[in-house]
Amino acid sequence: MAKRKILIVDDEKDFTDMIKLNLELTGKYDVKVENKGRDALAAARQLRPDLIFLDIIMPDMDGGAVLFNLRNDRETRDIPVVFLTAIVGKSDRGDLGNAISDRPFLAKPVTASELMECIVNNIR
Amino acid sequence: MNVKKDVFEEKLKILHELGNELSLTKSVKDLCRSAVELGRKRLGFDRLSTWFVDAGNPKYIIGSFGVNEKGNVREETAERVTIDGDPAMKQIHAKQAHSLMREGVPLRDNSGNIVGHGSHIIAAIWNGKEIVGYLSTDNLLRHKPFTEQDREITELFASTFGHLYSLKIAEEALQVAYGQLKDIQGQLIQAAKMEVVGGLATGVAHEVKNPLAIILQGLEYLSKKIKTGDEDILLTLQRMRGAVKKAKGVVNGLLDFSTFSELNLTPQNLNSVMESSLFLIKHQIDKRGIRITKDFADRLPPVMADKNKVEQVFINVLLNALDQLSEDDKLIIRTYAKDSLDEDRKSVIVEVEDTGPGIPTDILSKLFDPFVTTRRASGGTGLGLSIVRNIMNMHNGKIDIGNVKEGHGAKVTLEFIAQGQT
Repeated sequence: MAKRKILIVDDEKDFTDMIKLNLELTGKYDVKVENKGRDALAAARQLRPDLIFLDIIMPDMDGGAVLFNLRNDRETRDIPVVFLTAIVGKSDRGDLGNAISDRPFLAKPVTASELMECIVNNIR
Repeated sequence: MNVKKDVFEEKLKILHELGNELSLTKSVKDLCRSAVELGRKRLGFDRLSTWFVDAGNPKYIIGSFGVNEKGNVREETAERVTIDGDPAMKQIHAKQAHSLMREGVPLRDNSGNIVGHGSHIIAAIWNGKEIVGYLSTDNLLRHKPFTEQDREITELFASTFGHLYSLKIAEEALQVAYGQLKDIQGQLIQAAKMEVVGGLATGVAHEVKNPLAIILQGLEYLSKKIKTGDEDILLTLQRMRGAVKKAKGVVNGLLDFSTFSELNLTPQNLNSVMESSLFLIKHQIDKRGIRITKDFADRLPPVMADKNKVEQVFINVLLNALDQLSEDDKLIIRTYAKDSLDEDRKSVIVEVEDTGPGIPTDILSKLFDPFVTTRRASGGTGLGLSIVRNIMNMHNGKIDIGNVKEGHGAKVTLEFIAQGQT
């Protein structure tokens, strides 16, 4: 069975590397990690992942802006996106505009099983 | 003539001293009682009484302190008569005069019954602008004839009393205002602290949760990679996962505590919100085997409230109580409506009372301080009641926590404003 492609976007390199290790350990996923929002857009266009985990607060381009660009690109607009956030709350979502108000999210710290359950529920 | 002048001057001197003594009284009530007692003792008044104009209905006067027909000083605040019922008061009131003396008039008890005849002096008590009361004296007990000097002394005494009365009223109002100001100052300081905490909380949450996320992923990787039956290693990894979970709880609590998000207000029946809260923690109630008694008012006015937030309040309060109770203890939940004492409105009250050990006295004054908890050993972060109070404040409500009786249970009283009353 072909492995599903997952793109992890988070500015914390240690975090993205650990998730990659854990998800690939299952044998079900090919995981690519990006630590910058702009690089994530290029990776999404090239890879066409089955799901993107997207951090919200990133220094170069925040998660909201990344999502906005993904949605405005015909090649990436249908890729499911799940936010990974350390700060859960209405104000967190509200600040990033209406475009992400209906996005599912996971609150850090997350377990590998929570990630996988989320993948199963949201993957295309 | 000289004797009369000497007596008068002596009384003036006493009046001056009396004024100084009365200025040291602690309250309006104390002033009124002392004026009657000292007036009799030092100025030689026979019967003496003070009356004040009813601010709500100026046609009436209300008793303060007086001397009855047996010569006993007593509080007469239950007495209320019309000014028109006393010809002397009526005359002074009409002419806005200072005093009046009458001879050979019927003297009455406080029920209005005639108990004798004699001389009577009425002097107006002024606050500088208007008549606020009357000082009344007669010679029922000793029948010593009144003189013009007695009228003048009574008038001067009433004048002195009037000034002191106005001062005491102002003092008491000032004390109340000062108390309110101190309360507000305390609240402002607390709000300023919370604002700082709020700003810090977001940063702390981000900076702490990311490392926690890395640790958790690392633990999961090691759990899979370390093929070992070594109990100590497995236990260590388990403990580390638990520690991460606990740290996550603290940070989430801090975020909840500091996030002043908008309320989603809709009309709520607090009986229903309590029922849903109890349902949400049913498992924990059943596990502890605590008996819960519900005494809910049949008709509870609706309250404009954020249901989720109020559930959070109820659950927090209930869990705090349950944590302290053993199987033999009871939890009583009451709801009722009442008229609020401090403002003209209706409130809906929710009480949670238990029969547990109560709250230690040294903790009571710090209950709402962040990170104060009696449940640290079982994972309590000490932020629950801080959050509860914030939510109640956001609803313009109040929370009060105390012991039912030392060592015999605690009671939490939550007061919400009924809909239509804000």
